[in-house]
Amino acid sequence: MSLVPMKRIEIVAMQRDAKKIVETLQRQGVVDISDLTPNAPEDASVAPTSPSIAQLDRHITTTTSAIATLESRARIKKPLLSGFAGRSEMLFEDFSREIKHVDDYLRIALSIETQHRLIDSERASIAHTYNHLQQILPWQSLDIPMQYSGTEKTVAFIGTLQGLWSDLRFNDAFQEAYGKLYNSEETGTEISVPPYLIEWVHTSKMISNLCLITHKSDASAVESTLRTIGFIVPTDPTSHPPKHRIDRLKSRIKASEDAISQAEIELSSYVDHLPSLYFLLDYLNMRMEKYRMLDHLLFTQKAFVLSGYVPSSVSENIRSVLECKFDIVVDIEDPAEDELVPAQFSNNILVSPVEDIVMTYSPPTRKDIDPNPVMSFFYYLFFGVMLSDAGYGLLLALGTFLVLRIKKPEGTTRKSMLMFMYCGLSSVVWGLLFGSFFGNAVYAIGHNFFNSDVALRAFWFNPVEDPMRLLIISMILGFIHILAGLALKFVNMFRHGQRLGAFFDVGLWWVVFAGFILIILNAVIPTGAPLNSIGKWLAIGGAIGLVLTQGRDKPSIPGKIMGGVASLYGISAYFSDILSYSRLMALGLVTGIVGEVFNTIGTALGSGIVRVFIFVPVFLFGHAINLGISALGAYVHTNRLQYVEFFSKFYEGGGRAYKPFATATKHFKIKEEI
Amino acid sequence: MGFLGIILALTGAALSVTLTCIGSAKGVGMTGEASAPVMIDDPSKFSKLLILQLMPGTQGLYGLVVTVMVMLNIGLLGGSPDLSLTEGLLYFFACMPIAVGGLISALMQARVTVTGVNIVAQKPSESGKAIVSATLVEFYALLCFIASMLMVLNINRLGL
Repeated sequence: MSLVPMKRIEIVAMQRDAKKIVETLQRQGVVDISDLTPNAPEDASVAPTSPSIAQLDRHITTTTSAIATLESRARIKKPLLSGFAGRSEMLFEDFSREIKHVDDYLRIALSIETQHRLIDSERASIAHTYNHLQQILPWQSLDIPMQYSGTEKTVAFIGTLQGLWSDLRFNDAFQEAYGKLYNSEETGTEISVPPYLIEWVHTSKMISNLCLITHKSDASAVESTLRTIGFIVPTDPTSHPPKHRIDRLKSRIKASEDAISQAEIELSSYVDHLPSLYFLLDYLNMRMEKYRMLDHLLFTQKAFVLSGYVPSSVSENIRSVLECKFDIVVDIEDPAEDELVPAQFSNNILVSPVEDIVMTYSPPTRKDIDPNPVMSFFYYLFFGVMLSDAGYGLLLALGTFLVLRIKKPEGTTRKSMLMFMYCGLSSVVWGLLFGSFFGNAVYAIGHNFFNSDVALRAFWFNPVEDPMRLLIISMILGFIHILAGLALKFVNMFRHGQRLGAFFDVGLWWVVFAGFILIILNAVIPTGAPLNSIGKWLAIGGAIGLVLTQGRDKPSIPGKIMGGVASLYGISAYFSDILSYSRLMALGLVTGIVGEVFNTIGTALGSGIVRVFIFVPVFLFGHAINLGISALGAYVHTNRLQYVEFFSKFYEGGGRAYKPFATATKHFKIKEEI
Repeated sequence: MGFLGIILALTGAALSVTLTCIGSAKGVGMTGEASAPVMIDDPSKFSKLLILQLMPGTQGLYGLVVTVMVMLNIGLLGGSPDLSLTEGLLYFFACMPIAVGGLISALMQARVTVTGVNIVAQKPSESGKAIVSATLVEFYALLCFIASMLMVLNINRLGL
């Protein structure tokens, strides 16, 4: 139950073995390889791996995209909660057999991508063709080419006018425009409009397509008149009758559609290869990791150096595995005092779920004590007080238990599921103590539907009726939490040989606290014993001790005095810390009262069977929301109490998490038989 | 007649839930707006962003709880409401800490969560710190809530 002791490992071996050694280390998955190589020869250099990495990167992109293409076509609905699922297991012999087919799999991935790209480009071309078709479609009934310009004696104008036009409207507009252009106002003579023949090919509210034929001698006058009323010649007129082009475009769309369905058929024939592609992706990622790792090695002409950290428990195991396979020097030693050793916690199953909470705050250095055992107890405790409902706790615990059981998640997902399961169980306990089960559901349902006044009796007390009591309990719990934090500091300082410091920094505060507790005790339960004055003198004595010792690091005498006096300011810090635990009461009350509110709303309307129909959805919806928000609040505020109030007493962090070089696969867990 | 008393008490109760809900709605809205573009880039950050977005939402809940407690205590939810003017005024003032403190703390907390969205966008592993910073603000809403609650619950004892 503590930080895992680490050893520094240094490997010197022949260059030709480099890849195999790295592969072995990857499969063992226990060495955290670092850049730091203190004993490296001067002419050593880093291997040029970037071209291989770039190529691998391309393959990974192709495979990922091919998997996505297939998954969307496989029509396998991903089951709910599949994100929690762990990897499936694969035997090492299967793994070695599969590796031989990697090139085939890559070819499959590439051809899937080709088909996918083909589909994309054909879709784009359909869209483009379709637009084109929409433009030409109104001309469908025109049986001459749109480029048709007329006969020997006539001229044809084929084009469009904005808006809805008819013969009548056209006549008027044409006459007016013609008059304006060619009638001279001075002479007052009126020239009659030249004769023309018009045919409306297609009219709509937006646009009207027309074909107008007139005598060649009038052509230029008619053209100018047409322009003034907004006649536009199409940009891309057909040289055949428009029907011809329409048919051509339609057949082009058809061809694209055929190509797409052909490609889709081909793609769906690959669906069975999905597991192979998953394997391929895992394999490529593993190689990627390996190449990245090769970047960390230092090569000389014939040899290479690798260094890192390994848990001491497995260090000898690694040495023997490597030494029996390769010509190699494995050097295992204790890390130096000032080295930043990667940190890994090792705790039992009750404590380990909260390890990630500490890691999120900051990984520990070797100066830190493992806070998890103490923290996990308070974590579950506080979460329970804040959620404080047996029903919600039961749902949370059952839900996480089922996910754990059915989906078998790994790593951090598994840890957080376990954590919420324990938190849920703790909420059940507190919910029973406070008599809360989905708010006051037992009473609300019994009272309104069964005419009985059965209520869930609180095993301890009901906080809605007596919130002051919960407030005081919250602060007492907080005080104990802070004392535990100080105790950890004491232990840690003691362990590092600062025995006197431990007494000055922690012991004296305890003396001050003891004084205050005696004074408070005396006020609450007057015993007659002179507790008040004993407490007063204890507090003053402790405070004097603090003033005398807390400035001891300062170089000058005034500095020492200032530091000592300033430390008394800590009293107000402790006071506000303890006050901060009032959130335990506030969040606990909110859960209970909001739950009751939903029960009240649900039972307020209707009677008999109608009331049941109103009650059930209100109950389900209301409590779902309340559970969500309350659990979120409990989680967030529990974290805060640990980070701000607890860790500030003893935990420094600033370390680096242990990340062993291993097979970072996504789909398969490779089991090696030893 | 206790009508004026009830009117005052209900005004306080109504303000308590209205102001806090305005603050929460604004805060949750701001954070939601800030997180949408992050989700476009990486939809898997949804759960982390959701936690941040919900954080300024709790003030509304505190306001509602105080409102319900007032309604229970003056007998509006079952019982015969009868309140003197003084009692009504007392309930009104008891609602003020959470009404005003909740409103302002929700807005201030939202500014923290909006910048927290940046943390999630750029360094998702550090999102825990964004959440903790936001709880630092939330604590003041909690203090207001506790103050209002204790006042509301103890007015009956005055025996006015």
